[in-house]
Amino acid sequence: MAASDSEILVLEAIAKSFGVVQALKGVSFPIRRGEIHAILGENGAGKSTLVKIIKGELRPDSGRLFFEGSEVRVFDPLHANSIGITMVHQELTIFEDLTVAENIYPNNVFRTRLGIIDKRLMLEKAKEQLALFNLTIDPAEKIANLPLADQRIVEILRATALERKLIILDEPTSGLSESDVRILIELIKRLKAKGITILYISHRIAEVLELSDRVSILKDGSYVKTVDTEEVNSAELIHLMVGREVDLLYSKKKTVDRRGEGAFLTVQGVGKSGFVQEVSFSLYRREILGIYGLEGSGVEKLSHVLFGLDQPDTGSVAVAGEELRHHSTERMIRKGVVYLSNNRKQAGLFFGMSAADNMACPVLDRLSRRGILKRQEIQRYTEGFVERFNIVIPDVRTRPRNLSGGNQQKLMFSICLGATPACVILNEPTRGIDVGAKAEIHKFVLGLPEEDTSVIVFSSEIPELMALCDRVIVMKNNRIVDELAGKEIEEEKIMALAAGD
Amino acid sequence: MADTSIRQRRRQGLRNVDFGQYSIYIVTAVAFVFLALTRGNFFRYSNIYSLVFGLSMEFFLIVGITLLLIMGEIDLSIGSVFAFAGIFTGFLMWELEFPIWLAIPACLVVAGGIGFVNGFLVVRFRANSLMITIGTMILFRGLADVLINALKGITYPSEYRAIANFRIGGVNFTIFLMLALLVILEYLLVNHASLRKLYYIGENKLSARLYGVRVDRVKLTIFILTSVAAAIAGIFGASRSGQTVWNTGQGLEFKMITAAVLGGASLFGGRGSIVKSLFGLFLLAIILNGLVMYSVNPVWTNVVVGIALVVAIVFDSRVNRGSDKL
Repeated sequence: MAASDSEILVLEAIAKSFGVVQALKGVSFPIRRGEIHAILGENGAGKSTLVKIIKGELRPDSGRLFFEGSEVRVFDPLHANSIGITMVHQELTIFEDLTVAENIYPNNVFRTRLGIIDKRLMLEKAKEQLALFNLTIDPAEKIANLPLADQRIVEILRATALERKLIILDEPTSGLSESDVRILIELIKRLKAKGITILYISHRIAEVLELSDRVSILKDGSYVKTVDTEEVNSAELIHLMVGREVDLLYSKKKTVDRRGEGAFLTVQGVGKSGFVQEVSFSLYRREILGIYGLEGSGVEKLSHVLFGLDQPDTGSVAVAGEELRHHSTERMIRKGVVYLSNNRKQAGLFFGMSAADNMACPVLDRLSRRGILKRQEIQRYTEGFVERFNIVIPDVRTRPRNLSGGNQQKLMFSICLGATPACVILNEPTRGIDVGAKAEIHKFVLGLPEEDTSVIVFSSEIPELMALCDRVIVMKNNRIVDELAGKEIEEEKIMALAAGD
Repeated sequence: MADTSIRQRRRQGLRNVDFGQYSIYIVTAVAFVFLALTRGNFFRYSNIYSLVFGLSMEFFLIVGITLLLIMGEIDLSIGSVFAFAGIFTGFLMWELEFPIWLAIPACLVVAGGIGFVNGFLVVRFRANSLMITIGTMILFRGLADVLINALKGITYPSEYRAIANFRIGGVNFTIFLMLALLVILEYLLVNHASLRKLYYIGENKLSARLYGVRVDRVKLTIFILTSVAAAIAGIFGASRSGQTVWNTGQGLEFKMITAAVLGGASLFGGRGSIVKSLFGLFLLAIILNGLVMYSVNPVWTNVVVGIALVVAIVFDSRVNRGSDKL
């Protein structure tokens, strides 16, 4: 397909899988030269995978990509850079100890005849760049002394100074104050006026509506559609992001109101500077409570703080009616709370030890007599869980590194439940596993209240929360914005709370 | 799905059986038989006995370092603590006229304090134990030198010298002590819930923490234990030599690490066995002994230990790093 001249980047049936997870299922759409093109989608919709392919970090499994009419065959960040594609990351990549000018020109392009860096010329050029955008930043200032917004602006200028044609901005306004967002938006508009194409990744719908010319929506790795921003409102965008056919696996749960049964865990005004502010809620006995928020909303940190993996700066946590003075993992465990890690590669399994050793870890005391481990009992115990959770494993001596992702996840789930917890905190209970394993895990979670276990589910998949939870708390900008119970739990409502104004 | 995992396991199994498990026994046996066949003086009771007696002194050092390596930690100060403890006990008896039954416990308490400092710094400040213990290594080497300087080359009191020479049925009791502890400790390491935690910590301390293992407390305990054990070895060592000696125990820490890694312990944590570490130590002792038997100048000792360490580390990195540890 020959791209017309007005289209700078054309995606054609781009697909990419990671193991069993299909991150992109054949995405096609063009990006026009000189437009601000936003990509919108939930966590896990495939935005970041797509961006990584465009900037050459990942190679698509199939599909083609055309930049300025010619097909891109080399997937390498340096190559993407050389043809004029660059990206400004959500995490800053600045050189803290260098000046603004040096950060704009990190490659020391200005040299005297002797090959020495011509600092005066560099400052001069940096000043020009800054003036171009009506910015009053001093180019000789050390960048570490600047506020976050200015640092991010300098990063964007680095991209423009190199005269890139396509700049990808990934959540450029995250962590910025309202006034700084204004400055940044002005800058982006000027970039557009200079003829630079902007690919704008964000889940802040208000910004997208204000800034972009067109919006493409991704959902579950598929391309939904591209719309002219002028012709849509935020409700319509939300509808496009989430509206999906309800299949059997994800049927909405018949919720139970447990608020009469007394609180098992009460969080009062918990804060962690920069991540979580003034969070208060209760988990009632035998309740399944969901907590939802988009990336950067503070949910991830909240899950750590809840289990004592991070210390809160303010507020208190009470478990089973007793306020914890020192909130720590050990205390939570002693109170009968267990935690399912959201990243089994990093924590939650012992990849080099047998499944039986893995299973025994939290219950060593129970499976030993006077400290001496009862091997046979450990084996029977493990086999019990293998059977109950239907884990496909040759025998209990097998190490988790030799299991499939779904079976690893089920093993991790078993390790947690083996401790017969009063409460489990599930962090992304079904991340990166296939549909079958997902359904099984959902079934187990739904059965937990019958064993008197209360559950908190952190999940980035709204349908999962709808399938599991009696109540859902939604976070945005580090705070709880609202809670939904029973019939109120609807996909669009949750997304509107998390992404809307 | 099951199919692939079985196949993978077989591959895994093969890789584990060939070297990881038995290599240290095989290599030690080969070296032993080689020397026994080629050098008449090697396989004599007196020679073997002195090798084993030497081992029984160093045994305490290898225990500590093995337990630490299992957790993925290290202690380079053990050689210095070895020297310091031997001299300090002598100092207490000679200068402060402590009776021996008081001097030794006092010294062990001080050693426990050293271990506490090592462990506390590592745990509290999440410091790298390699770097921290280089610090304490130099510190206590310095203090040992200060004490030697103060004592001016004395011969230790006779009751102190008698310890290492205490015999049961003509055999030094330290050998019996080593054998007994070896059996008990290895059994507990494999079967006891508390010691089992060391492997969990070494394998993935974050996972261990999630499942209620008190990682910091366990680490602190083992650091203390390691220092106390090094002090016991140091007391035996000083008792055996009978006098203050400059630079005793220098380089012992590296010898112990070499031995433990030869015995299958990994610098990446999660592996290690006291029996195998001791075989690693025995192998080193045989090699050094063999050098003497082949009339190689003793100045080559460090060259050999160095080569052994480099080879062991390279092997360890190849076998153990690629795994899914993050």
